[in-house]
Amino acid sequence: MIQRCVMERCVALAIMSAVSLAAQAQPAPKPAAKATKIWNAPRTPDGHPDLEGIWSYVTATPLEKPGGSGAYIYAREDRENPVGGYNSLFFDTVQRAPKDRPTSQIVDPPDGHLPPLTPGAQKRQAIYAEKMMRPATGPEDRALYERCILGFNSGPPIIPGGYNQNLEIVEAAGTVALYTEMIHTTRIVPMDGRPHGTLEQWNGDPRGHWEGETLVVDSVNFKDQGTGTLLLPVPMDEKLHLVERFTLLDDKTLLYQYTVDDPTIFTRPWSGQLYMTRSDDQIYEYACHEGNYAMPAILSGARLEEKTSGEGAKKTSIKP
Amino acid sequence: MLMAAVLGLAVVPAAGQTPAYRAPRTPYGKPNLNGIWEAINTANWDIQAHAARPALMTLAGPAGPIPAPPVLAFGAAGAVPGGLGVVEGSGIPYQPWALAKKKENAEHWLSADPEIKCYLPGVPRATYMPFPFQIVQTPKVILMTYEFAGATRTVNMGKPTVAQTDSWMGWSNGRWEGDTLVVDVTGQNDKTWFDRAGDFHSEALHVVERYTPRSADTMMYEVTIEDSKVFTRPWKMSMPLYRRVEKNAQLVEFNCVEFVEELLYGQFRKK
Repeated sequence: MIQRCVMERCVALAIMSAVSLAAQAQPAPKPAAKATKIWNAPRTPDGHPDLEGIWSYVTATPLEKPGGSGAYIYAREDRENPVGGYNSLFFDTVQRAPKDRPTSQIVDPPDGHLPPLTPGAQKRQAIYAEKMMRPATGPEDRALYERCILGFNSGPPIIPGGYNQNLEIVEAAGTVALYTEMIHTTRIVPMDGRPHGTLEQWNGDPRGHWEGETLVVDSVNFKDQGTGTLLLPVPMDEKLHLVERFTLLDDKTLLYQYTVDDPTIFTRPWSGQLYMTRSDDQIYEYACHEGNYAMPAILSGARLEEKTSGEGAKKTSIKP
Repeated sequence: MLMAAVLGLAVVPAAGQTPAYRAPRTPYGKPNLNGIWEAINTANWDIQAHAARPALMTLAGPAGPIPAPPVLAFGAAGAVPGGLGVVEGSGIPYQPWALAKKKENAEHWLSADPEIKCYLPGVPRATYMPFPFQIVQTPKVILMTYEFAGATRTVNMGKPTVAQTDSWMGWSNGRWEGDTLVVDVTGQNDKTWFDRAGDFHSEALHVVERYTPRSADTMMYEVTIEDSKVFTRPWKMSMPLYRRVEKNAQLVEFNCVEFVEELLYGQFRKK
């Protein structure tokens, strides 16, 4: 898909529908981690667990348990500006809830909510929200995912929402590739034990190893305004230490677990998990930047708005 | 390929290739192409033979071309290095209208080359841009990811599938012919170029790539280009690719989207 819009509004709708689906599920609030059982995955020719294939991370489970204090900065904007951008055909739909009916992707803290932000992150959040709410003065006012610098669900960490929710895993000797349809982002994960590098990267500097059946990806050296995940109240910073775990539960189910440790943003580390399901579909190119008609529209619209609503503006002279 | 064979363009080992070389194998018995590769040539400047010149954008000076104002400040760094070209035979067989279009493209390089805007480069240009790319190879799929713009494509090594829609990087089906990985690419849009010299194609482009190991750290890259809307016959490029042998070699992000925001959107900034 190359059409784009002001995504946060659209995604807010998707989240709302996911929340309502989850709310319909009968409560079965046992810890989702108990669903984890070790299944001896098939092996690749190199002898490692074969996690290869295309995995859908569409889920009915919201990031945070519904009804809590989790702040979602776009909710207000969506109420105040109920203008959707995408129609229902665009969004991934959820076929069914996972068997254990988790009420949130967040499993730690156990209340299913993001931990409080640090005072510094609260300031950061206020600045970020103000930028996002005002008519954009330039592209830097908009989120990374609107600028097509990072996808809004591909993370890292991967936090579902919206569309393009496909991950392809490719394993070769010494290397694992994690390729997300959302903005054709490929993370090449060295598996040869080399130490972390020193360069800050939008997707961090990943290093991987196997722990039994589990692929563990340890990432540091993110950039200050990463990552692009939509559902977090504020972008994380370069202090982020992310550990992701991929474990095949059965032929069709991949358990994705991650722990976020960013002490300048969150007052404590937190962990999430979700089930990815094997997809028979194919990944199509998402040329986000090439089709980013939204950015010039957002910016030129803001300039037009200034002219038409500014003091002394001659509205009749504006021809949109 | 049938057409290519009829026209006598069936691929033959290029000069310098050593067909006797047998590549190391993966555990599943195929030549092992895993690793980071890069072309070392001037094809991204111009796939055809070209002498060095002052800049990609020039004006007539008192005694030959001089750099045009938009690129003048680059000095020697903006000069075009010469090269012998990677096109085999007697040049690119453009149809007359297309040759005129190519020249027009070259004149408007600065505004028309998709590379300038950080657009996905398409195939084969992605291979010989001055950036490395990485091959991650499995029996079922071969992932190729390019440092430039993070372009990625997966080559389907199973039963061939058909492109459902056009895209910038196209739709790739692969197969092994002996030690050669043959990749058939269709479904590319008409927006990518072959180089900074304005060489172009239509959406009818059909690319067949052949990757043949020729030593532990080099392989030959041969490409057949077929596009009946633009060219009078299929034609070929070939070049060696070199392995990046640094111990800590890895792709680093070249997320050029942020680098071109000022170019693309600066006009809309709040003054």
